[in-house]
Amino acid sequence: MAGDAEAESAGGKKPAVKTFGCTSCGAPVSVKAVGQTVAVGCPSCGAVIDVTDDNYRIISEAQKKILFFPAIPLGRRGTLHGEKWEVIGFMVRTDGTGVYSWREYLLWNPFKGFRWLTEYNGHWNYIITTRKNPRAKKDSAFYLGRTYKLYNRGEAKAIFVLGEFYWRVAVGETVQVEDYINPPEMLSREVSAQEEIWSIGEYIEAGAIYAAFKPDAPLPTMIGVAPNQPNPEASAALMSWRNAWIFFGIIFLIQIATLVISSHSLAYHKGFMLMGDKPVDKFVTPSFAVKGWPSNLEFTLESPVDNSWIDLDIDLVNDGTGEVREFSHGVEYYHGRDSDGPWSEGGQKKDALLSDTPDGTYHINLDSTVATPPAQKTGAPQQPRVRYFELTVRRGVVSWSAFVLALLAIFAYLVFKSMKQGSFEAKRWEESDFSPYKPTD
Amino acid sequence: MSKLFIVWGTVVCMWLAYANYTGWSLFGEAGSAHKGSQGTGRMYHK
Repeated sequence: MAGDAEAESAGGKKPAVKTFGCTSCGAPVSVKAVGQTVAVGCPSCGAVIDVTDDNYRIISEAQKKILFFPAIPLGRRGTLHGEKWEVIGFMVRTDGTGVYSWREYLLWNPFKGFRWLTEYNGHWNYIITTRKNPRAKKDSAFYLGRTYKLYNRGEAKAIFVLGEFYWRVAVGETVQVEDYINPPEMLSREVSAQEEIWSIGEYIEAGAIYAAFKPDAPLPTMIGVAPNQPNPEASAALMSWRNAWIFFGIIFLIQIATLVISSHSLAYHKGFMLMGDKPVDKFVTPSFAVKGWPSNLEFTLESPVDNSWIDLDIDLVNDGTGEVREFSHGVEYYHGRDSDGPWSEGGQKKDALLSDTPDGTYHINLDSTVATPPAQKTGAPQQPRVRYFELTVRRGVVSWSAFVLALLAIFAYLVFKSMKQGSFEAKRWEESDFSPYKPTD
Repeated sequence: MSKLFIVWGTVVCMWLAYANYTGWSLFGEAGSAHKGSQGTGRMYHK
């Protein structure tokens, strides 16, 4: 686009419509923005006529076949941003490669001047020329305190023109363009031999266009993500990060409350000595009371194993119900020295946890097995390497793993939202040569 | 706040409260534990 789009008709009088015959085909051509329109594309043959010329000079010749039809018919009126507009011009432009094309609609209001609607892949922009030129530096442009990132730089070539325009547009007219984005806005710079024009566009939903102009046919289907399309995930992701603190706070409160009310009390403790020479022995503990809500029981096994091990088969028997919970527990500790220096693995103390254990009176059946040294050639019976172990049972031990998992679960949601936001942004920049998501050469 | 996030956060907090109530732990849980019935008799000598 070119020229002063904000020119207003003088005096606010209702303008007269000017009609003449097309210089190329003779079909009637009308001009509504009399005094402002400079060129008209004939709706019959596509020839572009200079209406400021007394002889209606043809700027560009008739097009053999009209290949493009505006989605919003010329002459259609609609209300956008509280103002009534009439579609008076339509043009199709392509980039320098001819691969990408978009459509531009010139809107006119006799009291407000001109505006533009552009459509690309079903995405629409409402555009007005800027009152002053933004400042461009490297890959950014600055306007009214906002920074816009360079999205596109190249040529724009008019390949089809229909209706009225306020400059001498011609099919084949080519200008240099730059597009800078800061969604939902886009700054566009068009440079020709004669002038430099800046305009600012705002992304507008196709539904708003349809509601305003009520076109005869459905509007073009939306494809992909437009350069300045608002990211629906951006606000959601930001909001999630803010609100995550509420859940982080609740999680901390739950954990603090658990720390305060958990008993972490000693339910049973005793040391055991294996009798005889055999490496196995069995024990039965006296009954002990387990109180409180059905929390956990922590079984701590300690034994002075040294390059040795001890295993326990533990049956926790509820004296009241007869219910048994069986599990294995053991410690092993090995150490030595090799070419890399001293080494060790295992330990002499280990915890095992039984969650969701109801209160009641319990006893424990222990079946212990300890390591024996390798057989000797003498055939003499081998003594177990360790004979002693201690078993401690505690009630209501606070677990931190669930707390950490809960924090991670909230964090995972935030990561998920941020990834969705990033995915949208990556799609936005797919068609740009200046994408921050593409590796630079 | 999105509904999904409210639901997700609520489920996570409820799960944590339940896990703390039962004393569940990701680590050290006696995995082979199971419930059976063995009576109340003392099987082994003390």
